[in-house]
Amino acid sequence: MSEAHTVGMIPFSPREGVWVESLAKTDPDFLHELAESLPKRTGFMIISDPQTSSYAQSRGVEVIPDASQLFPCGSAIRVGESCLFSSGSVVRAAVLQVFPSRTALRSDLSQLFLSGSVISVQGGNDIGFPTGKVGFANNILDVMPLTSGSQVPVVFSGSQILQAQTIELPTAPAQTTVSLVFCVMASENIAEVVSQSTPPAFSATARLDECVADKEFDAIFRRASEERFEDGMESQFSRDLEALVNAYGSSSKGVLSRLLNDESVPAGVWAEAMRCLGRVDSPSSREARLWLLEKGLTARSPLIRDGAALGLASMDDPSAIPYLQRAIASETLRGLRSDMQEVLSQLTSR
Amino acid sequence: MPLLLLKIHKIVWQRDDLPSFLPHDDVPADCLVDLKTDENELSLWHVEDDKSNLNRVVTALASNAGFVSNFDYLLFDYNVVTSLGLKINRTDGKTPDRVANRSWHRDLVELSGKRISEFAIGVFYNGEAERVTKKKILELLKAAVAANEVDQSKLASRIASEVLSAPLRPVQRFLRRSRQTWSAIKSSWQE
Repeated sequence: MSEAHTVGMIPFSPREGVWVESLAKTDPDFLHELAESLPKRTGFMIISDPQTSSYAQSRGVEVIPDASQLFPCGSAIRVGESCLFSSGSVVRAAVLQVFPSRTALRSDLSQLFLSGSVISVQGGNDIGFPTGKVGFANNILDVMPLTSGSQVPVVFSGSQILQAQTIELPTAPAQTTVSLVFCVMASENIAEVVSQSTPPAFSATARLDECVADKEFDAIFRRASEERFEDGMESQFSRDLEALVNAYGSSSKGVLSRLLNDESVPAGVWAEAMRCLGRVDSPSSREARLWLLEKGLTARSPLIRDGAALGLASMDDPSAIPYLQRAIASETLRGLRSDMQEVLSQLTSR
Repeated sequence: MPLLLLKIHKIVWQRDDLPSFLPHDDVPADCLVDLKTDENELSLWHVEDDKSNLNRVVTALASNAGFVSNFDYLLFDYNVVTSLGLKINRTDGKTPDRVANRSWHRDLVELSGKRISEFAIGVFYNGEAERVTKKKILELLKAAVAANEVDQSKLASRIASEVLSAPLRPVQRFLRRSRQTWSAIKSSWQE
């Protein structure tokens, strides 16, 4: 599961919503883990892009290509405008969409979280939500209580922010359980975008293993500042990093993402980390590593940008092409730009 | 005039966007990391002026690594060394390529702190930093193994496992061997 820390970084309140997961690209690990764990508790559906849909279908996850199919006739939900939930047993899931670009996502999210818009729930009996924290894989799902009169956050669909609106819930049996899962899929990670637009007020859900991972990664990065690195030669740091990435798989992404923003880590260490991340042979962390390398292409230090380009060359994954193209367009150092172009040629000629 | 090759990290030798504190006749201190001296000597490699042995030298050095990786090097004219009055000796290299070791390895000797700084400045402004991609290195290593240029028993296990998978085509092997033989003869003649 990627971005294990995301939930913990997002304020949780009826006004601001429930954030379950930011999903980088079409993270198969995430879908796999959802498919494995979430349905046991709630059941869920995914509306997604074709690539994710085909993966999800292959995993036996029900995929609905069109939100309008989510809610049957007679549902009080105004289909096509929001994505929400229905009482009863018809739908116990939520909606997600793929954003076309990070820019669109950033814009939409900032609007969403700054607007504070809410949907008022009116009518019907109270619906008993299971409240509290539900853990699955490396994430914690916050489930919010929904009662008549409570306010439900605005939900957005695609690149459009939905306006606040009234949703009428039909009367439902008292025992009915409705689970609410918001997922957002984007072509890039959105955790930091969200954290920029919302104060980090809610952090109680950090899991113990995340803390342990944090400490372990942090320790090897600190120790590495004493080392000298050489192309083609293993270092103690690269061995340690490889071991940790293998151990934590896709959940290393959150920790490494935080360390990448930690300016006290020397650029040379991150450059070595980038080169190493490209070499690690760990399918479970592939998406996470790719994401980090793509992020590294825009790092402030040219050492890190160079390391990221070398890491991407090692991964040899054409999905990095658009990121490399953008990095090349903005690269000011001629030599580095030319090296990035070499990597781009390699990926495009695959 | 022949050239000399030094293994480096290319990114720290780039001359664009140099730090503002740096005087025109100085180099970023990070470059010094690549000038690893041992007993006041610095290992360099001789490259023909037509660069005919360049690939073989690069391959020899890459085969000495722990795994297949990109290879960055700085190439500069012998003049840089001679104009600084630095001494250079022909010594044996320690790569898995015996021919390269015997023919093209050099040591810059009797280096002091001042001399190594002068050398750094000289090669920073008069050398060309280049990179051979990992993909290309892998091709070169495979070719070198197929041509028996490197001692396979001296390859690190990770390199051996990557390299010993696909053989080189006979025509490639013949052309490569011809070029390198000529280069070795030329080098001996010049010495």
